[in-house]
Amino acid sequence: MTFGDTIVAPTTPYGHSSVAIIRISGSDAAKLLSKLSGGRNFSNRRATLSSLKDLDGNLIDRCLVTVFLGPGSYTGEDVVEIYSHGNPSIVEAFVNTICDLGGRLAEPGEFTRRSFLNGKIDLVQAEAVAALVRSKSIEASRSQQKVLGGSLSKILAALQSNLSALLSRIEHQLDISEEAISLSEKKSLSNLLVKIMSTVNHLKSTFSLGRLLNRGATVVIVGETNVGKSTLLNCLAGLDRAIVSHIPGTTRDSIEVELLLGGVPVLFIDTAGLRATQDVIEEEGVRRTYRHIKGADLIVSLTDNPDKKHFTQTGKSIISVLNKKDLRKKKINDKSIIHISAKTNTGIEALKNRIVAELGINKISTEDTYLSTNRQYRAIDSCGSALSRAKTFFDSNVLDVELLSFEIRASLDAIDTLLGKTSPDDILNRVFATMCVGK
Amino acid sequence: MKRLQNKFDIIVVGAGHAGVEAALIAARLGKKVCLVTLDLFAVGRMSCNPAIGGLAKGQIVREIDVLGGIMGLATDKSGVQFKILNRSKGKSVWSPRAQVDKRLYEKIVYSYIQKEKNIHLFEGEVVDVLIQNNAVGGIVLRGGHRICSLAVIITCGTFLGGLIHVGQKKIRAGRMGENNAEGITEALVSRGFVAGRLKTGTPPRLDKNSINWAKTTPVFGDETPAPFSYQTMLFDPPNIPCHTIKTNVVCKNIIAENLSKSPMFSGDVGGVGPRYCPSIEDKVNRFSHHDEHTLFLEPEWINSNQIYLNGFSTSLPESVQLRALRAVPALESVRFFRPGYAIEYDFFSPSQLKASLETKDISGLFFAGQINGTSGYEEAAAQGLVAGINATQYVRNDSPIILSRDEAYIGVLIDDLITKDTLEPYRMFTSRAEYRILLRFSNAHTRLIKKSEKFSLLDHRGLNKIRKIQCGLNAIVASLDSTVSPIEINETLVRLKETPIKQKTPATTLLRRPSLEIRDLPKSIFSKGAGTSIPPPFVYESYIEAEAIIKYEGYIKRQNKQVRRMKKQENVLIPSLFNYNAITGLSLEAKEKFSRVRPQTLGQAQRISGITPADVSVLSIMLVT
Repeated sequence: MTFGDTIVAPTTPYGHSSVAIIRISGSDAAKLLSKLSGGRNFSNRRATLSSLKDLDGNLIDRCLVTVFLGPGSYTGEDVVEIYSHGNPSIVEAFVNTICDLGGRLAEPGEFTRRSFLNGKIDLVQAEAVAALVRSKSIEASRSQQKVLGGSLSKILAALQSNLSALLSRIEHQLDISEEAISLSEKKSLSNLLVKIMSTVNHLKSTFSLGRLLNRGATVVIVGETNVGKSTLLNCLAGLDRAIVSHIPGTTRDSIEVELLLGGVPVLFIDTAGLRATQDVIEEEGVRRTYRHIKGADLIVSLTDNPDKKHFTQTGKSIISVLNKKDLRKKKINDKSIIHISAKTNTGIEALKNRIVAELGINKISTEDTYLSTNRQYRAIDSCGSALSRAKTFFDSNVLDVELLSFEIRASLDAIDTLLGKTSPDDILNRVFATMCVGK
Repeated sequence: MKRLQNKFDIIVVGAGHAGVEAALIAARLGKKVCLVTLDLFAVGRMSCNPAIGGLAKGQIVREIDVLGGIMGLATDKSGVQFKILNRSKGKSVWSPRAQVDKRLYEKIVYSYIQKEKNIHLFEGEVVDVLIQNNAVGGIVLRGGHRICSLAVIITCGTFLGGLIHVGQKKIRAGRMGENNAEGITEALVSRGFVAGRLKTGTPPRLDKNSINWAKTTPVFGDETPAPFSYQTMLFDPPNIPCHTIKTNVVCKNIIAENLSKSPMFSGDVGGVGPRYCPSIEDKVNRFSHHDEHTLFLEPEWINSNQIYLNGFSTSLPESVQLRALRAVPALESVRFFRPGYAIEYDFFSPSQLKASLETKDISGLFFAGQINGTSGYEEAAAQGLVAGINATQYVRNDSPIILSRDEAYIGVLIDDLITKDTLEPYRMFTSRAEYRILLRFSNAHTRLIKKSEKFSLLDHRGLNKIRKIQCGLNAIVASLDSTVSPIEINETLVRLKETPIKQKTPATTLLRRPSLEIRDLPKSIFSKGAGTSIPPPFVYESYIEAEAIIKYEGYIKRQNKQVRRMKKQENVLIPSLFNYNAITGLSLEAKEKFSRVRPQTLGQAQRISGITPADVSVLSIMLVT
């Protein structure tokens, strides 16, 4: 595709690594590479070792490059991939030089967008690619691979087809049948609608798990000062991440550790202890604690004394944990509270299990398909609300078939934003294919 | 015959429903028109069913009426039974239909033509079109006589290469008993136009006296009929019944056994038939589990001996038609005036037209009606009207009238024609209109009066009649702002199983309740005078329209929002010589389709069948870069 411009971007994350990949796509991609390499010719799809130089003739890097001529490339355009040493300054030098030669820094997702515009992937697959890049764990990528393979596409296509079938029967009432709608047809349409609604609701409910797989979850450890929050974090992380001391208020800033629980990246945040304080820095720490609580998926409330009250003041799920079990002889029978000793590492497994259960990680199955992007969720959500409005027409004693059709059409439009348009012809084709029409 | 003058503004070829509307509007707009027909006695003929209007078509007739066409008025004067369909299904899909006295209809249309001084009606067969420098210059008649004009509108109906099939019998004809037109197709094809073949059918005409009427069920029209034309001030049509009967297993089996004798099944007919109007053999074949199909006995004119058997379109041999029908109760000893038949005819792919109905390649040449692959009197008349207006605009060197998809079914019709592939005769359905809620038969005046006025399609008297109806409607809507007290309405609410009100409530709020209709509201709220300026035939309809405006308010708003989104794309123009092949990102199919159709706007481009959103994205990027 000739957009008139060629784009470039590093496709590996920023930072030091063994290899970094810089991708160039567009009609000038090959020409730019030729300029970098001092006029060398490259064969299509063959990794070639080459010394690449900047405009002043200084060597940027000696590394492998591959040319993929369109349309047999990821974007469908001519693509060049440079596999350089993973040093941010080398990567930057490449990107700058290419931009100086007439390339343009790609917008986020632009390679994938071009790939989509060139018909290499469909919209749902394009989203899956974007999510794939972002997905942080093996399990998550498995779920995304599934979407790429079309399992979400398949479910959505079935939904689209069912909605079309429903709509075509409604349109038959409006466009063909000159009789009033029969009671049995009314009942049957209503049943079909309810069936579709349950599919949509199920799909909608998968979003929280899909998002969990993709983005992970945040668990915030809160409690008064000196109850052992930092010790717990270190214990969970299995390393000395946070400074621990007997002095209350040691943790001023929040400390974060990311752990993989059941394949889901879970970010644990150790916060400054909650107490009224004169210390300006500690006061800021407390303010930050409240901010973290706001963004948390789950809160672990820690105390060190069975008589102390647990943190309660949010609408979030909270796990109450009683620390310093090692210092108490007396057994406590309150099952809703988890007893641990962060110091001696007892009860930590039970706590992890409880966290996994509370976040819903144990409900994730790699066999299922999940909605994972906001756009998918919004589409399904608006499909669902249109269907709910449609349902209300059946509750009224006069069925306004026209408005019913309007809402079903709206629900179909929502699915269409994910899969592509259902035209009025598609609906009429169904009417003629399945119903006896004509006087 | 008057001596034929040799120079006209516009020549209209064909005097069917498209041709007469085209000729009449152009003449009224002051143009000298030559209307050429194969048969002076077949002007405005209804070749098939004796009815006008119906689902989606009724709305079109209303639109034609506001835009200065005659179909509505002629129907009001010749209708024998009027009915509003879809009454129980939502007010925006209400569609008026009339059974019509065909002979009277033709007579009325003929009188309109005769009264029009600017029309020269002329009998002859057109065999070629004069073209110079890609502009039309007139026509050539059989025998070689030439008539010159600045614009030509071709409306040949089923007459282009018409071939009738009855069983294995084939007859070259435009309609049963009427000659077809040979030569125009070849002439146009030689100039680069792409032609195709379509098929349609018609049922047998029965002898009234051979039917056992006691075994039939009468069906009447509405007690309070609604006219099609806003110009109809006094309206008191007859209410003559149609009758229904049902086919049975014996009938079905006779048809099933003889399927191979139908040219549709033997492969004799190449054209594609309309799926929405299947032949009886098609119904029997595809829905073999249905033993019964309803048939309608419709009189072709008042006191007609000839009965149109709606629902039994067929091209089976006459003997099989008779045997199958004689198995049906009430038709045991039925006789035919003429059998059902199928007809194949040429059409020109309408993607070769602009939205004005002018051909993209030859300026001044317009196509309208069945030649564009449509079916139906109403669809034809609508195109004829638009072509007539636009040929006039062309002669005046002025811009054409284009109706948008949110404005009129006629807009949907023409936009579909020029962007979609024609695989079967195109018929209007309400579901083709994505902004259906906006396109009510009862708001045709509101939708189209401004355009009608802009193009001077109605005279002052005509416009004033419509304005008066609109004024009355506005008064009714305004009076719905007044409040209703509990005592006035609670009894009704209880009867309708709605919650009673506790305090004075605006009538609009009450009307939004699904079960409540405008007639349930107390008469007192309609301020004196509200609706009194409305001519009697339109009073009922205006109340219904007022109810729709209130009840659908939320939906109307939502549709208007969709319309605004659509218009953004609609207004991106594509240069007519745009080179699609240079866009490497387009799929081969898209390149081929864009190059063939040459859409005028991005909106049209995205509606072309087979075009994906990706193609449109690519195209839109190319248009801005």
